[in-house]
Amino acid sequence: MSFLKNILARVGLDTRAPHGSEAGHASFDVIVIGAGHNGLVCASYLAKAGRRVLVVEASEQAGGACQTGVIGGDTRGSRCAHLLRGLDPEVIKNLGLHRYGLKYAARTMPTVALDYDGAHIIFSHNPWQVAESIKPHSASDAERYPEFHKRILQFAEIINHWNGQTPGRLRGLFETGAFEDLSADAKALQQMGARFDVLTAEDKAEFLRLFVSSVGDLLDRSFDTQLLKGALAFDGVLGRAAGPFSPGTALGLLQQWTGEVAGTKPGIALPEGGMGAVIDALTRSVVARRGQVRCSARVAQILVENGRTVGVELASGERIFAPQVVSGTDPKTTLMDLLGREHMETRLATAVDGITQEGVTAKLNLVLDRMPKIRGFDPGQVPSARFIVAPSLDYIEQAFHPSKYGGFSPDPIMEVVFPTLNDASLSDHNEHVMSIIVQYTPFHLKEGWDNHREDFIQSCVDVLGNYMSGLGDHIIGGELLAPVDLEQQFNLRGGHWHHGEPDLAHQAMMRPAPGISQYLGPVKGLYLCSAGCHPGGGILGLAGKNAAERMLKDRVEPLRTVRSAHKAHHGDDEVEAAEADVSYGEAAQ
Amino acid sequence: MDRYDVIIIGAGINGLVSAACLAKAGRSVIVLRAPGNASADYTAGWRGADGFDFPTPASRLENFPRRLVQDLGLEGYGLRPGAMQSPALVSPSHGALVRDVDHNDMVRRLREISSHDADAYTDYISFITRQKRYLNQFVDLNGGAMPERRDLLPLLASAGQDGMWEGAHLAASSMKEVLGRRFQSEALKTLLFATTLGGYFGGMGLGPMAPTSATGLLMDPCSLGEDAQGLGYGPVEGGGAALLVALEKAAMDLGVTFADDTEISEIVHEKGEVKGVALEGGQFIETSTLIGDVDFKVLFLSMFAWKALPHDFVLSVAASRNRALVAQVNFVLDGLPEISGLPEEFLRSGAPLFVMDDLTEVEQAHDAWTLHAIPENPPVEFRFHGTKDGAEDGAGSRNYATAYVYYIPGDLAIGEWSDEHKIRLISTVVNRIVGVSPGFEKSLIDAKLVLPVDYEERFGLVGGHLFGANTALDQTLFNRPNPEMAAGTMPLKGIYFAGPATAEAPFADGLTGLSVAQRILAEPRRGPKTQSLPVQWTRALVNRIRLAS
Ligand SMILES: Cc1cc2nc3c(=O)[nH]c(=O)nc-3n(C[C@H](O)[C@H](O)[C@H](O)COP(=O)(O)OP(=O)(O)OC[C@H]3O[C@@H](n4cnc5c(N)ncnc54)[C@H](O)[C@@H]3O)c2cc1C
Ligand SMILES: Cc1cc2nc3c(=O)[nH]c(=O)nc-3n(C[C@H](O)[C@H](O)[C@H](O)COP(=O)(O)OP(=O)(O)OC[C@H]3O[C@@H](n4cnc5c(N)ncnc54)[C@H](O)[C@@H]3O)c2cc1C
Repeated sequence: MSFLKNILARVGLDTRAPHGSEAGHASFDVIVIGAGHNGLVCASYLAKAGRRVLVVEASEQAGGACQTGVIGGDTRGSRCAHLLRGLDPEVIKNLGLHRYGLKYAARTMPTVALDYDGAHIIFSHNPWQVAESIKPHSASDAERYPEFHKRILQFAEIINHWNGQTPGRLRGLFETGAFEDLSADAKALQQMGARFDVLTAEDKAEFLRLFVSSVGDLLDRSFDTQLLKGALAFDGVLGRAAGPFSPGTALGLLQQWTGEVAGTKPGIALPEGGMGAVIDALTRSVVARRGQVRCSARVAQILVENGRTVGVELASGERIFAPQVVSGTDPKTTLMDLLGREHMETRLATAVDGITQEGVTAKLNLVLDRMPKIRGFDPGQVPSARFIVAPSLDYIEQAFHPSKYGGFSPDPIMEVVFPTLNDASLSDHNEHVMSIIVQYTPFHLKEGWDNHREDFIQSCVDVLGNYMSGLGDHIIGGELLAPVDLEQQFNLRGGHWHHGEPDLAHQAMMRPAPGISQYLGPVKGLYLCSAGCHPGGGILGLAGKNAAERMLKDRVEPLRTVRSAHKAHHGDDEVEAAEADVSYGEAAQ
Repeated sequence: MDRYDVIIIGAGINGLVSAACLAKAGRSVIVLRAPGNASADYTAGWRGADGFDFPTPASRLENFPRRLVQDLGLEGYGLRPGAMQSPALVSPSHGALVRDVDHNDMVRRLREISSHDADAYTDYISFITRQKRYLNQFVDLNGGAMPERRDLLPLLASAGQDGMWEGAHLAASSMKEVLGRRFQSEALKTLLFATTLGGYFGGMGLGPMAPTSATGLLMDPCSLGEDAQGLGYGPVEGGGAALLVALEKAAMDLGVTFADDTEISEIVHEKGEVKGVALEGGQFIETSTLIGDVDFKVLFLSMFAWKALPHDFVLSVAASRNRALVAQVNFVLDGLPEISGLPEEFLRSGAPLFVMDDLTEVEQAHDAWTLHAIPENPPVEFRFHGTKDGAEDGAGSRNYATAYVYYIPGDLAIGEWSDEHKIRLISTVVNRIVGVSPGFEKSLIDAKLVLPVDYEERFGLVGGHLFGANTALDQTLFNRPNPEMAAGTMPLKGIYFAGPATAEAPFADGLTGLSVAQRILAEPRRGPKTQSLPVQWTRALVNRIRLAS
């Protein structure tokens, strides 16, 4: 674990002792639960605004699903997420992430849709270039592609605009009365409609239809080429427990295409040093703003007194107080386990129960002694790209089916990246990392995962072997992270990429669940900022940013107890003191 | 040369409703019926071996608006709406359960199984009823205009206080989620799902685990109280045929002309306006207003020299999805089968009997369908139609029944439907029924399979989809059958389209006919728009059409 310590030392973290004054004694304005990228983005914005922020992270290493770590021997890689597809440019700018060390090893990576015969379709931000690679498959599809590309980007731009906004609340559904602000809801709705309003009538019609369409139906009415449709549909279903013909997946495609990297849309980038580099930069930005990040500090409970949040209790029993708590872990865990049903209305609790959260995405990280040959590319000429195995809509659909019933298909869909082509810092011995996302991998495997890991890995390698001859011979190490492992190792409930399925019933004002949106928890002073909130998963930083903005708008009612809690910490009657001393002070902003 | 104010092509429910309403308002109307279609269409049924009309899945008329029955005096023409029947489920793993139409009976029945579910059922029904009331904001059952796209946001926003979002959440969810969250009994969940199969949901082309599939619950025929939609008949005595006969008589009395055995050569137009219809025999009928009550793909892709229509319009018509999923096996039996777990009189009532295990099994059937394969265990809906004494040919009495089979693809990935496939499907269905009715096979005299391709051939429905286009949300309301047509954009002045692929149609039978008639009567104020169409997604079809032409 020397490597781990290295990273932590680099960013000025200590894995054991809390930073600054002893927590519990320190007074914080905000406690952030979880040092995933969203938690850190939120923390950094709040710290930038002058709030005293403490981030408490359960694992010994910050990052959540953004991790650089050893994957075999001493070769390192992005253990979970491996590509940046739209870390919000505002977030990068506002928080100065480049200043704090974020660098790209590659920033306009093309996507190669692998073709069995080597006639790959290569996607980039230049649609005419893409069309060239479609030509061998279908001249008419090639001709249609640029217009399709333009239109999807135009629609993605609207989604992008929505992503950066707090969605209006579902009034009337679970009226709590607590945060009643009807005009703000109306305004939010209006704002969400504003971008939409500038569309032509026909585009409006098409956009609204796309909302409820499946990506498969959209593509079937647009193109003929199976490979083209398969590759585009891949984006629609990525990270979702949905097939290409599930309604709502056309929206998935738009969401993936919102990404901008360094001015390029759709942009795909590889951070130098693996995905942990994003976390390093974020952590530095928090620390530089006098925030603190404490690892190995699992929150066991969110403390509530007289109907308001007063702090958290760690698994160690330690209590830390603050008038605002924001959770960067998934909403279901936050509300059901850390807060508790008793603090929610029954209907809200039912709605939270209704969040489906079983991921279907596994990560297979391999170490290779050298680059495999890829059909259609001269040896040594393999581009640094995102490779996709999804040859047709029916192939994806077929891969999806078994996952609904606790099985996996021997022919999965995959996304493959070789980060070492651009980033030598990951291996000390010129080894290559092959980073693979495998879908559809069920969370619960009917026969249990224990005896089926090898079959699973074998089928992935076999399928990839169709495009990369002799791949099996080059593998010298690696790890499989099935959704169960993701849950265990990274506290990712259900191993779910998005902290809750982003199906149509859990989008925008219904995310994470109807009755609880706008980053507000059901108890005063509690907020949510994870991928489980609008606009969902992926490394966007927007949930963190939107939540911070929301929190900065709200009036903070200070805990008069902070000092007494401090005293109480040394006394015998800590709990009582805390209870007795919480009061609703005047607004102090 | 003949001239009529209005020509109607096709004599389905909607065509006849339009005809009657327009004639009542004093317009001269002629209805053109295709050869072999003089009295029977797919609403009427499928003519079987010894002349018995087996109802198609579209022959249940729970959704015919009461208002039309009154306005057109249909009861005077012999229309006898029956009482609502109580369907039942027999699941091999979860047993039998009847869905009493009477709410209190149902709650009492459920109380014996699970008091949790009994309470949940009451809550559920009031929830669905509430949602239907919101739905009424979208659908005017008096045939008024459907809301347009731009009405949507304000409508949703304004309805916020009333819990419209609750409906949005429901519509976005899956059947399995919604039912799973509310109920414990697998049999109840499966039964509540099953009763939606023959309606709007059956047209969607989705499985019970797909997002938005729960929309189908809004059209649950068993909770169609008058309160909810102003509907609420039981099946019509004599089936769909009786409704058509009553409508036809009413139309005739109102002065509508019927021309049988007409074959359309071409719809003639000039300078963007409809001029009339040329028939195969060389006859020409003149009009400035034409209603097509035939499949809209047939109407626009085969009754025009399609090159005459705007290209993008043609493409968007062709792009609409119409993947059929229902087939039927028509049985002639010499006895009435007994169903394990249900009283003897159950089948006699004609109520539907659903044979399926649970929602997972249904989803698996849907999986097979998506890949154009025949499901191993498709959900089956069995209905007994009646008995006929076989005195004439000396045989004993004969019983007629149909098994509607769901998630049967129109075309197979492995090629044409061969006899082997057909026999396999029939035996799958027979085995399913034998599973809940031991000895059923012994009473079998005849079993005939009707596939989507047969519906296509017999009724002129492209793809054999009885709704003309799938009813998934991307083809519902202002997306139905595509955004342009839903907005009233027609390629020619004076042409109207009244088939089941219109925005109104999935909500009530005859509603489109009524709505079109009202639009025509309101002319010129609300004529169809004739603007040219935007370039759509549908370029992919250019080639196909080029090939086809
Ligand atoms: C296999 C896989 C591959 C992916 N690939 C990509 C990709 O290539 N590109 C992309 O954009 N996205 C990708 N994603 C999605 C993306 O990684 C996630 O959506 C995103 O990282 C979520 O960030 P977050 O900050 O909201 O939550 P998380 O990263 O999950 O952070 C939550 C944090 O909270 C901590 N925590 C949990 N419980 C507690 C507790 N009780 N007390 C204290 N701390 C706690 C966790 O340890 C964790 O650090 C991938 C996801 C997976 C699973
Ligand atoms: C599985 C399923 C279940 C259903 N269940 C129900 C239900 O329970 N309740 C309900 O209310 N609705 C149900 N429906 C829908 C309902 O059946 C239809 O919406 C309704 O029948 C439509 O009537 P129509 O008059 O618009 O069209 P049609 O009934 O299709 O009438 C069109 C007529 O035009 C004729 N025609 C075709 N080509 C020509 C030509 N070239 N020249 C002249 N005539 C021609 C046809 O033969 C036909 O007679 C169901 C549909 C499906 C798919």
